[in-house]
Amino acid sequence: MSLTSQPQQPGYPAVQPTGQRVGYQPAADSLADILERVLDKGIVIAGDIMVNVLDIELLTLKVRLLVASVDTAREMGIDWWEHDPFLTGGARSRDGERELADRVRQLERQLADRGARDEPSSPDGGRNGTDRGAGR
Amino acid sequence: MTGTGGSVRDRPHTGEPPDGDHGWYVYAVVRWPDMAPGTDTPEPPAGIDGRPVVAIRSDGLLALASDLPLGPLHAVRPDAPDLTEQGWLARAARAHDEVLRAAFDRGTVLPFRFGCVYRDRDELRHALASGRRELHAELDRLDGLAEWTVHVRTTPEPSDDPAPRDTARADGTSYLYARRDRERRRAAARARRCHLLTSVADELARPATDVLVLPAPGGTDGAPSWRASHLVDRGHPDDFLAALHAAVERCAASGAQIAVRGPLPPFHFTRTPDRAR
Repeated sequence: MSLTSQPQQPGYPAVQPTGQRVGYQPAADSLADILERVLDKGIVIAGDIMVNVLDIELLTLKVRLLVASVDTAREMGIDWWEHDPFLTGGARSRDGERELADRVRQLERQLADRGARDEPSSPDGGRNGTDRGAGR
Repeated sequence: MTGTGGSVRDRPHTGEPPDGDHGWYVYAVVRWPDMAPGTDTPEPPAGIDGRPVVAIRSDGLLALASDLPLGPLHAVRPDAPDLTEQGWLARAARAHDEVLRAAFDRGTVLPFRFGCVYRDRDELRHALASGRRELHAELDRLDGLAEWTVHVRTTPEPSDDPAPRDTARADGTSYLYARRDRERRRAAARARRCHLLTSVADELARPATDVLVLPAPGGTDGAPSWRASHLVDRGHPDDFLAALHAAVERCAASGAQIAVRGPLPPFHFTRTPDRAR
């Protein structure tokens, strides 16, 4: 049985008061309803588990949700990350920024190397090479 | 309980997945007697990706599980999960939910967390055996109980909106009086909404065995909201249903929204056995 009044969301039927009882129509659960129930509820029994969402996988899954859409997660009532020191800690943020900076530098080097290799065969390679150099 | 015929059986220990691409995905733990086949046993739903749901038995406990190829589970992209209804995650979560609810129609269910996969049957049986005592105790605790989740969102009342003011003729004193009156109206409106929420919460809690208040997204423009799961006697839900109907009518009269889900397996009330954690 699912019911609601004052429908504001697709798929939610209106409740119609009918005197002593309240009439209702069955409503399909939204994806948010389902995910909120099954994602981080329920038991886990440790073992040699190949995919265990209790630890890293669960964290990863929640981060996936967070990255994809904070608003979607909040709409579901999932706001655990706002209180999770692992995710809100400054050290981790700095580590993440450092990793990103390293990755950007690595990509820049790869682009420069590729540009250098392409230069002789390019009809206007000299000018492009200058532009690339000036742009860096 | 398999995908065909609804019979309870444990397949012989042959035909295990030959490689690491498969695993035993667990939906729930139930009691053997609850799942015993009967003449009116409905056809159980298929599991994730249409895989048959098998009952793996260990000392009076049954794990409802599917031999599942793990590629799609691993393929959920960390940077961009597909949260559309057509995406794998949505279909898998709905299948997980369906299996639980079908089992719940037949007896007490301990829901497993989404995404738990064991390497093989022996590993799963070992996990059941390691938490046997706590699992039986948890099944006893939740026997005959169902979960009802209720979410009430209030909406701002008209007095919340700042009244248009004739600023040209307003002196400082009248401005302050008007501002004070507006703040009083806002406080009164907010108190009415909070009173509605506390009244509904109290009325629903009275006939419930247990209540768990959940995070609740706010109502329109930050209007207060409340969400909670209630543990209710499945055999005698009349008192709770009466309170629920009263709450629905009260919310309708106040312009608040109320959404109810139930009866459901006790997702929010299931405790992982400490020793098996």
